[in-house]
Amino acid sequence: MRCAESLRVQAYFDGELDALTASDIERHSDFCAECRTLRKDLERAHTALRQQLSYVSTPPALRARVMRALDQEGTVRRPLLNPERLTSWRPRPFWKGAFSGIGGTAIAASVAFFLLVPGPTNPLLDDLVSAHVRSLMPEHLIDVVSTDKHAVKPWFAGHTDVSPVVADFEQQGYRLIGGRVDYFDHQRAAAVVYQHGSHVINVFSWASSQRTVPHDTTRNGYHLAFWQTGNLQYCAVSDAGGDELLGLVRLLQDASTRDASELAN
Amino acid sequence: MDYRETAAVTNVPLGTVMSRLVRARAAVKAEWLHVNEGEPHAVR
Repeated sequence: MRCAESLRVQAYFDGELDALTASDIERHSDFCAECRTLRKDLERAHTALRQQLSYVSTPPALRARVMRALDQEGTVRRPLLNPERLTSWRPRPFWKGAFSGIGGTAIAASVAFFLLVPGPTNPLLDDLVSAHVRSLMPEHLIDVVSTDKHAVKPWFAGHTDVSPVVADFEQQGYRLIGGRVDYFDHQRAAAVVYQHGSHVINVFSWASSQRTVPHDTTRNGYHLAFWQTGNLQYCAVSDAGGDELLGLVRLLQDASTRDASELAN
Repeated sequence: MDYRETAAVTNVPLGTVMSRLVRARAAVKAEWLHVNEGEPHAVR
């Protein structure tokens, strides 16, 4: 009997799943032998077809038929010219043409100004948003899958240049689901991954000699919240609401404070 | 084409696209085995 998850395993293989579902399927495959076999089977078939089947070009006759059909479709859909408009055309006065030319030039110049003059950019913000978006692609979200902070935090020690605060806040609605390495700002940064409802929140951390942190902002619809603890800079990125994101930030800041006071004692 | 595009073009539900894809893959595999290894046809 086929496992009920087999269709989603196939969708996972085809890159059709969102990050959370992909993560579910990865966990499921860990203990379902049938789905593990299915994944291997799909990979083998994919490799075999790519390696052993010769590439076949489209026959010229078929290509010509398709192009003819497209041409015909274009002809049918193209609006017909109104014969009355063709026959009733009159030359416009010179001043009308001149003013319309000036207006057109002004509009074109305005559009060019807004399109070509770059706005103020911060490469760090671009890196963070790109890293977040990349993480949402299948198989990119998590390197270490665990809800246990005692498993995730030591994992970072061997894989990144920093040791960020890691804690699970499932009771408060922020479930720790794992961690990942990302590379930006010339170092191996840590990304702690949380699930909040249907949202993924990446909490990036990296070492920085700068004393100022960027202001919280929104890029491409993603909220970014920044803070600093010691020389570690943090940034939480998500499409969750701004208040929801700040809720996790406060919890992490409290956890950092607790860690620091435990060390001092 | 992704699953959603396929569903829209063929005018069938997304689940049907997925299950047909499973069957199509099984058919290709069976044909492949038949041609390459001489195993019997098992396409349903």
